[in-house]
Amino acid sequence: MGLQTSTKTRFTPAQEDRFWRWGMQVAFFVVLFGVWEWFGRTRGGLLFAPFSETFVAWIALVSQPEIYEALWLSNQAMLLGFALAVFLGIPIGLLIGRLEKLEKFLDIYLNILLVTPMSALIPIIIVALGIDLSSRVLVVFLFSFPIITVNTRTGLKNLDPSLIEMARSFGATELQLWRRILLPGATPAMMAGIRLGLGRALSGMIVVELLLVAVGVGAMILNSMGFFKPEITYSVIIVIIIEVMVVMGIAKRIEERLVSWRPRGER
Amino acid sequence: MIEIKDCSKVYGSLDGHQEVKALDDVNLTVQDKEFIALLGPSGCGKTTLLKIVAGLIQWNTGSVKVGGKDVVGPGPDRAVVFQNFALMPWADIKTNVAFGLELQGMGKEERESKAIQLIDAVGLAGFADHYPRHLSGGMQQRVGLARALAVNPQTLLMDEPFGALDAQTRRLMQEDLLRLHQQEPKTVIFVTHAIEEAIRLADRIVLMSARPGRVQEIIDVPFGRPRSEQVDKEPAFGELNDYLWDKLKMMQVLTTS
Repeated sequence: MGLQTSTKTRFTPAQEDRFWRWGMQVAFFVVLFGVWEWFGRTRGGLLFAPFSETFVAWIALVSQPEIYEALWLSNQAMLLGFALAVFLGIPIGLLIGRLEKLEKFLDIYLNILLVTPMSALIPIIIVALGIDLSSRVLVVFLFSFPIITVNTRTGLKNLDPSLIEMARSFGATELQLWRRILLPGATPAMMAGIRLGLGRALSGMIVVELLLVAVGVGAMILNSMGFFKPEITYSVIIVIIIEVMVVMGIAKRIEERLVSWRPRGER
Repeated sequence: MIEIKDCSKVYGSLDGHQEVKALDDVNLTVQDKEFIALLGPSGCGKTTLLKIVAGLIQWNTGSVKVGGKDVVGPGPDRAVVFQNFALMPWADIKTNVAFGLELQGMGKEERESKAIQLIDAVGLAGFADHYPRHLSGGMQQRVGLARALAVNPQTLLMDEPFGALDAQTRRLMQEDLLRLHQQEPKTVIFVTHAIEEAIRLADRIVLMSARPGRVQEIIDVPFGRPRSEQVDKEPAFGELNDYLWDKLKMMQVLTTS
């Protein structure tokens, strides 16, 4: 009897696991789209579009060049601001992680940057820099810089101190210590910081466009809402979500490649 | 020869109020190729003393000489084996073992072939391309030992190297260390808080007391070399064990009361 029941299961545990994962995803979307459609048809109107209308609008949106031009415009600010955050955040994070005196001095400012809602600063930035690319770049930078810096610092500080002692015991110079111990040891936290910073940079890009500098995809959201075309608003949002998922997925891949020596659970 | 004369070390606490005297006028001379165990309760400064000899910690007063020269920092004549192994998790075993040689500027091929020799010597043949996380604690410490031996130091400084291992692994490591020491004798300073381990391994046991860290007594171990695995069956082993235990017990009572 036991043998017969065991021949019934034709799937390996891994296959079963995959089946459940995909099954759950599909079920989730079916329910989500169903509720969305039902709500749109019964309660919707000028301000709420059902799923079916959004889907049609989305197809139309992605087959026109307008959305890609808007994405390019928005992402210019995102890329510049994020690159600036990485190129400043990593060295500053490394310096304060290594130099205790500098950390004591800068800690308070870093904490202020980390906890301040950056959206609140946007009006000040616009007044100071005007409505052009530089102010959007600065907002993106302010969104992503603190988390990159703090993560880099933490990665360096959490490094096993006996590794540093070990390297010194073999006569490592400061340069050798950086190259062979400090940088590889801080890489996991650094990469996590870059990935988090990228997520925040994308938020910053949208927030500044919605709040003050109406260009790019932010402007498309505002305009479509102004013209009571919720289906276009949703379509633009879906495009943004897709961009975020693709970009974050790539970042995650790069991160895993770089820290493949870590046990899975700690990545 | 290692000569430590009137060596004192004070750790200042961060707020500047309380100062801890880790070492108080320590005197110790270690002969070449001698195996010394530093034995004592926690807080007796045995690790501090080891790290001073390693050149990793500055002392306050007195003098510390290795091979007739003042210790001014770490040097290739001394290598340290760390209690928690201190392996680079991002590097494979051969890279870890070759680390000291790499810092000295030895070429990749030369240092890796040397590393593989040592990996074989410590009983890890075939693990050169593994990563530390794939290895058990005992195996990781073998890597730590191979890395120290790779730079061919005159002095091996071992900081409770087997303290984190289970009892069986510990015994095996002790036997292997004795064998390696027999094949190629080096000066060894071995920090431990396990009495039996000290008797098994050392030529002389330096018994230290805590707060402040002082050398209480230096005891000759009455067993020659090569040393038998059965040394614990000898009556002198039990006597020395009891003697040291009484001493340590007294220190513990004194420090806790």
